This record gives sequence, C-alpha cells and structure tokens, in this order.
Amino acid sequence: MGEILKLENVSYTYGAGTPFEKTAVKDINLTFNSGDFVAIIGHTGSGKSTLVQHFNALLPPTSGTVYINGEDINQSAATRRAARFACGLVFQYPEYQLFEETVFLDIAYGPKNMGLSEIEVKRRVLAAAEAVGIDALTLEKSPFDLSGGQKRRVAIAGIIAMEPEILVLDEPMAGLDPKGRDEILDMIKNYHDKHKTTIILVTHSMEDAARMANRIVVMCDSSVLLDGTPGEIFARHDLLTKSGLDVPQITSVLIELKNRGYDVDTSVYTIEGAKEQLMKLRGKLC
Amino acid sequence: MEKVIRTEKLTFTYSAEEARSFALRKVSLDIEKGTFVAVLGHNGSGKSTFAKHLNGILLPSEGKVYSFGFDTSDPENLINIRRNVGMVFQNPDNQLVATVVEEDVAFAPENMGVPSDEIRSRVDDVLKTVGMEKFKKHAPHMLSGGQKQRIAIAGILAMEPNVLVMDEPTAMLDPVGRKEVMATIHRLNKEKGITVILITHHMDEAAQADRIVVINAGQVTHDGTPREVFAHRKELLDIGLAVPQTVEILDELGLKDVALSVDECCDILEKYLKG
Amino acid sequence: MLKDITLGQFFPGNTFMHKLDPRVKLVVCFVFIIVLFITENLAAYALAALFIILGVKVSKTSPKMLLKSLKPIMFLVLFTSILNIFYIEGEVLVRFWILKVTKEGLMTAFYMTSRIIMLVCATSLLMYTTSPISLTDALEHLLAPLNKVKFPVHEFSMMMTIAMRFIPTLIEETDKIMAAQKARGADFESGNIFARAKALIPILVPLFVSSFRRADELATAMECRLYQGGEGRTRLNVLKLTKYDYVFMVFSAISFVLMILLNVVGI
Repeated sequence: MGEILKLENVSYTYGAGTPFEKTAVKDINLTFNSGDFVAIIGHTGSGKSTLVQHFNALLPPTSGTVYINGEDINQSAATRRAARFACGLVFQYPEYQLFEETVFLDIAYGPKNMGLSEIEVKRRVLAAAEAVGIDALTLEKSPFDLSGGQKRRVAIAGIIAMEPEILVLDEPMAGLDPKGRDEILDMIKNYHDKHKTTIILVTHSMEDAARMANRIVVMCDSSVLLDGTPGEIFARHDLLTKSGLDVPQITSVLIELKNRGYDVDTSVYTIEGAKEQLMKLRGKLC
Repeated sequence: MEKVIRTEKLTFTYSAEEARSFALRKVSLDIEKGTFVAVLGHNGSGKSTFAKHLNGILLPSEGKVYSFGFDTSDPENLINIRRNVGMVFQNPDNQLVATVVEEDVAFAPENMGVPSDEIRSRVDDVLKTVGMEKFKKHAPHMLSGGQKQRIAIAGILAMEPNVLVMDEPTAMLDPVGRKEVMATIHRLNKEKGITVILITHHMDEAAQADRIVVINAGQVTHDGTPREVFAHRKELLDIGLAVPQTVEILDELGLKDVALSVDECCDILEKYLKG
Repeated sequence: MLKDITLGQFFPGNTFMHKLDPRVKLVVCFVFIIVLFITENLAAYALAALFIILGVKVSKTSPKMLLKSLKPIMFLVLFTSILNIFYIEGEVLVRFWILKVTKEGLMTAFYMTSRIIMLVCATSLLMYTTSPISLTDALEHLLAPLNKVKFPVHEFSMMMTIAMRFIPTLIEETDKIMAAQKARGADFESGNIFARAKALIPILVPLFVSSFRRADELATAMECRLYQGGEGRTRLNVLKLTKYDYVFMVFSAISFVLMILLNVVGI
C-alpha cells in the first residue's frame, strides 16, 4: 500500500492580522496510505473540519505542504483543481448543496465539471447512484422532493460520481436516527470494500470510528493528539475523556469493571468483543 | 396526579395528495404534571408531528388535544396554551430573533406585554437557570450550538411555562453541546418541577426519562418506564431503534435484567461473573 | 472566518458616547449633516471639525478606524473635487492647456470634500458607538408618528432586527455552500460574464431553499413565543433620556447655532 496523501507541517490561521486571528490547525504531519479507512475524531472546534479542507486544496495552508501522490497540490490553479477531483470531500449536511432539477443532473454536476464525455458522465452517475442505493425512478425526481436520508445519499453520490481516489466524509451521519446512521455507515463500508478507495471519515462519535476504521486520528486543540489503531486509541481513554470525547458506553462498562478489580481488556469497543471477553472471564472465575 | 396534556384518538393527515397520509393515527395519551417523558421514534415516525399538536401549531384532523384542559382546536385558547406549553426546536439558529442574547430572551415576555422591570428580572433569572448569564450581551451567532440551544430554552422559560416540549433539541449538537442541554433540561424538571416532553431518537437520552413513549408509523407501540420499554430490544430493533449498550450487553449475555447506567450494568455483570 | 465580522461595525464600550440615548445620537447626527450642507464658511467648518475630533476623543475611537471608513469614498471625493476645481467659472489662478483652476473652484472643492469627509466621520462615529439593535430601536421610536399615516413602523423595525440577526448566519451558509460546490469542481473565477453568472446558480438555489426553510421555522418559533405584531408589546430596554443626553444635546445645539451664525456673519 503506497502513500497517497501526505501533510507536512501544515498550519492554518484564520483572519491573520485581525483581532479575530485564530489558529485552526497547528503543525500537522500526517500520511495516509492507499486503501486505508481512517477516522478523524475530535470535538467541535478541534480543527478537524478545517484540516480536511486542506486535503483537496479548498484551503491553502498558511504554512506547510500537502501532497497527493507526491505532488504538491497548491502549486497552481490547475493542481488545485486536480486535487478537488482526486480527493472528493463530502461536507457536513451535504443535502443543503443540492440544486438541480433532477437527482440525475445533480449527481452529474461534479463529473460534468471534470469535462468528461456525456457517456462517461452517465455511466458514473448510474454507478454512483447504485453505490448509494438510489434507484432509476428516483433519478428523475426533483432532489427537493426526497426524504432527508435520501437527499443525503444523493449528495454523497454527487461526490462518489467524480470517482475520487480519496473520499473524505465530514460527519455524514449528523442528525440521522440510528437506522439512518447504520444505513449510511454500511453504504460507506460496502463502497470501501468494493472499490478500495481510501476513506477518511470525520466524526465525533467514537463508536462509529471504532466500528469502521482501521486507524483513528484524534484531534484536540488544533493538533493531533493520538494516532493509531482503534484498540490503541481506546486504551488511552483517560486522554480521550479529557479532550471532550466520549468513549463508547461498553468501553466505560469495561473500565468500571477494571476499577472494581476485574481483569478485563479496556481497549475493547464492540458488544461482540465485550461479550466474548466477559464469557471467557466467567469461565475462568467460576 | 394532575394531567397537563391529554390527547384523545389524535389523528392527523397531511394534505390528501401526499403519500404519507396518516402521520398520526388514534394516539391517546395522558401526560402527568412534573414528569419527564421521552417520545422515541425514527425519522418520519410521526413523533415531531405529535409534538407540534401539543401547543396547537398543528391541529388534529380527528380527535382532540387538551393542554391544561384547553381544547387546542379553539383559536381563543391558543395564547393561553402556548404560554403554558413552551416549545424548543431542533435548529437553534432558526429560533433566535434578536442580535443580542438578552433581547432575544426578552422576546416572549415583550410579546406578552410584561412590564419592563419584570422582563428584566425574568431575563436575568432564566439566563442564570440555563447557566448563560455571562453571555447576556453577546451576539447569538458567536456562540456554540449548545449555548445557542440553551438561549432558546431560556427564551421559552421567560414565558414561565409549565410544560416544555423539546423537538429533537440535541440532534444538531456535538457531544459536549448535548450534555450541556440535557443537564439543563433535567435540572428544570427536577428543580423547577417543569413537565418535560423530549422528542428524540437518542436512546441514552431516553434512558434518563421517567417514561418512554415509542411512536412508529404514527401509532404508539410502547409506553412505560425505560426499564419496561428497553426489555423489548428485538421489537425496538425492528422499528429502527437501538437500545443503550448497557442493555444490549446484558441481553447478549442472556441476562434478563435491564441496566440504565454504567454503574448498574457493572453491578449486574459482577453478579454474572461470580456465577 | 466571515462570521467573525462585527455587524454595523459596533465596538462595545462604556464611554460617554456609548451611554447616550441612540435617539439623541441619531437626531444630532442628522442635524449635524444638515448644518454641514447649509453652511459654507471656513470658521464654521473648523468648528465642525473640532466637534468631530471631540467626538472621537470622548468615544475613544481609534482615528485609524475612522480613516479606514473613509477609504471606500476616497474615489468619490477625488472625482468631485477634480470636477469642481476645473469646471467652476470664476477668478482664474492657474491656466494650462485648456484647463484652468479658479479660486471659486478650489473653494467649492474644499467645502465639498470637507463636507463628505465629516459626514462619513459623523455617521461612522454613530455606528461605532451604537449597537445595531439600539439603532433600530431608536428608528422605531423616531418613526412612531408615521404610524398615524398607516406606515407599519413596528413591522419595519422587526424586519430590520431579523435581517441583522440572520446576516451572519447567511454569510456563513454561503461560505459553506461555496466550499461544497468548489469541492465538486465548481469554478467561480474564470469564463465570461455569462459563464460566471451561470456558475452562481449552484450557490443561489440552495441558499434560497434554505432561507425559505429558515423563514418557515423562525415564523413557527415566533408564534410559539406569542408574537402577535406590535400591539400591546412592551420592551426590555426602555429608552430614557439621562443627564448625559441633555448635556450632549445642549452642547451640540450651541455648536450648530454657532456654525450657522458664523456662516451668516461670514467671518
């Protein structure tokens, strides 16, 4: 697995030179490998949303360099544009960006901007619609007539249709009910399994991060606080709670059991993992 | 116990052409004074439609809603009902009217014609209640989501209502904001005796309520204490709702108990581990 | 971040100028501008300048900020002065090629320039020291007599308040939508005017849709908070004239009368 996206000493300051000056990301060094599924977590204001806007050159770093496939993406207008297509970014509440008359046309907006042929655009729209579970009938509807969950899928399809090498999703589950969350998460997981696209998921839910990613980056106060596998991250629950993040309830249960003197592994973060452990422990104790 | 809200076979249909005709079907519920009721349901289940009936924003197509004994379908009663049944919505940005926090909180009492010095004391009081007194001269758009939502709550409290209906007040907030808002609502319920009706799809929020009402496809499917309702894990899953992990792990281990907190869950697990 | 911009350029403070009743400030500012336009006299203008400088000192406004507010109108000032200098007939001072500079032209240019600069300074001072909400309040009070001729004064001021409340929200939203469309390869910078106008559709449509949604939700929220128009409404902050206001009014009145007198006497 090769390096696909690399950030070198990236810092970003809003409103430099005004009384509202604020450093949103500070000296970030990160490398993402091709095919990875990474979750970036942090509380609101930790800088995670600002950080991801550097991945596709929407924000040029105040200092530092961003590379995609070894190329500095901020060299010229052309490289910046190329980065938009190489690294697709789905914003928070993406359904608010829908504007076209039909779902088909809306999904086609990105591919059309890439200057692709009509046939290719059509192929991509259909493929993207299928990936997010939008049927042919819906493609002809107005996006404004859809339900909230469907709108969000359409918006995600709009980015997927650009067939980016890296897909970044900023809080794609925000505001959805448990079923809606699961559907979106499953959809992303399936897409990753099928296409091996590098996925970067921004979230403040530790549960979702743990379920989906093979690597978690924790942001706090504009910097990277922790970086590792879910197990490694949950082992540092003290740091996580201190930075305003919630560990999954099941992890809290295991931590409390450990405090009560039981020999449990507190880096477990799924019900299945906890179940297995508790059954084994009971076998030992009884 | 005094019933503050009563619905009798409340049925509601959006316009006939729309596909989701029955938004609510024969919902009959009594809500008792001082209780904390969570109304659970997935998006589109009809739970928000239900909430909007409680202070006459929507009127039943069939059946009746009585708030404090007043029939919501009589326009004469509306002012009285809305004064008593305050409503907070999901998006804090779309509920604030003024550019200064204290002016916004004063909005409702101003509309009610409360004398100026009393408005002043109410505004100061409710801002203290929600813990935002330091921000009274701030502009709302500079505050965090959780803070804005607490201002919205303060703006409703300034009417001195007896019932607070919250329509997914935490859906757009991050974990920190959610905690702030939930702590505020619980304090209002416990200390001020305000009846709270919380519309939500967050199980952990519902777990802290006195009573849970589950709505699916416009009908009440479950109604009881969190313990009673969460015991039906499979049924809840079927209608797109999850139970808290503390409940889930016990069920997975084949235990009959329902735990609502981490501590309780650990107590039960200790017994389990010791055989 | 765009949302950090302070609206109406209000700088909170606790100076004499900040404490003044917004109605008084508004009226004084208005009268000051009228006096500026009816006078054309060096001594009177010196007095007016003194009046402004005093205002800057008392309100602790940084002169730099004031100069900044003059920047956007500099072109207008230069343009009108040049026209005045060259085109007004009178006693010729210098002549070159087909252009001539007259004494009258120079004087008119000077008065015009000073007038505009002082006008901007006075209104800026008002904006810097008065919060938008008290300005709307003041307007509602001052326009109250118009209620008699069926002008919806309350609705007008409510509209202003809501507009001010939502401008930052909408700016933030526009920012977000622009970024989202850029992420889909939207290009707002190149192409001819038609291409650029067309490129705005993906921003304007979502913005309109969301504004309607917001308006709808806000209306419901206002109804829940018992809004029924201006009738029978009371206010949290009642405007009341204090000693400061009387001092300021008397001082301003004397200054303005002096300016007019100087103009009449013609020193």
